[in-house]
Amino acid sequence: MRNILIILSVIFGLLGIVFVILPMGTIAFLPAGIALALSIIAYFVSGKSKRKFPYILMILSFLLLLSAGAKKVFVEDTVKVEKQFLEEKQQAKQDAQKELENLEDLE
Amino acid sequence: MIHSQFIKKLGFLLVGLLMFFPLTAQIHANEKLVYSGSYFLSGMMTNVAQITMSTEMLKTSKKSYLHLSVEAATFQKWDSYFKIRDLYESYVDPQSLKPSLYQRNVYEGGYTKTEKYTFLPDGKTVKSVTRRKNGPVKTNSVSINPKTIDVVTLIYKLRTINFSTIRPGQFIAFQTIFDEKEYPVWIKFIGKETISTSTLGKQACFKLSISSKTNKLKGTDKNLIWITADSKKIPCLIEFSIPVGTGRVSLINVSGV
Repeated sequence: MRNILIILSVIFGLLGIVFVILPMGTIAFLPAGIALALSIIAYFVSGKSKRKFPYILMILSFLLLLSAGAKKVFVEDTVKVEKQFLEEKQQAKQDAQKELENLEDLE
Repeated sequence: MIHSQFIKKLGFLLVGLLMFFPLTAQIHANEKLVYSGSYFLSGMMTNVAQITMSTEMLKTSKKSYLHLSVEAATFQKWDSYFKIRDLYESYVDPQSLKPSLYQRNVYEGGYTKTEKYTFLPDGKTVKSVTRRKNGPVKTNSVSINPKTIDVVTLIYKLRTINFSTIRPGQFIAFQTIFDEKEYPVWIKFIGKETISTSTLGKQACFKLSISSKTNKLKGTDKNLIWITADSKKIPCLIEFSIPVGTGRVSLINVSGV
């Protein structure tokens, strides 16, 4: 039982790390939360001499939750302004003006 | 037989409705509406891109056009995984919103596509010039209905509908051109609904359902748009269902309206 809980906690923790790194917003809360819950259970079902590893897992899962929360609060959704895209937009506008003037000549 | 008669009757009804309900142009230059686009991933909405709708005037030697543009760009955090820089533009008559030129410039994760539709003065033909990725430039001539509009104009046309005379459940028909094909688009007026927005607070809105004879939109009443029930008619929330998933587009900033 203890081992299964620890293994599952590690798996969900790893999944949480992946989701915290990837730009997937609050999704990381789910695996990180499960990892924390499983590690807490593992901590209490473990004998007093075997609580060190579940305790480390608990701390790591909690830090993972904190990182996901910090990312949500402090990392703003911004769009990178790209010179190339701006130039393409300007070019598209110039092309449009020419095309519209050609079209007016057909009227 | 019965089916085709029903379609014909429905067609007449929709055309009738479109003629009966006048469209009152109220789109001005220098409007800017900014949206955040979210996609439903693993049971949660994840912010993916910013969508900007803007208008400006363009003057040629003989005429003035209203330049309508819709720009979609992924947030910086997504750029390394799947970068999107899409630009959809239409140049329309400022009063009637009749399109003269439509341009599409798409960059989606390395895939590129450019399209240009010129609405010829005869009102029945669109000259198209398209290019996909590194492929050849293709030119084509597409026969259209005189009332056919492009997708960008369609979005703005929704803001000119006079909803005061439409009952919930009624349809309004539009004919659009996309990917060099004409598609009928039906707008169903569902009714009024109050929704919460981050920029405008609680807003009474007209709720509309969009459907089309295309596989690009999925489900019945799954593609919805909420437009403020005031004179500005600002689209403040869009929910969509497409073959690869569902998502939401929420208004985050308004200026010039």
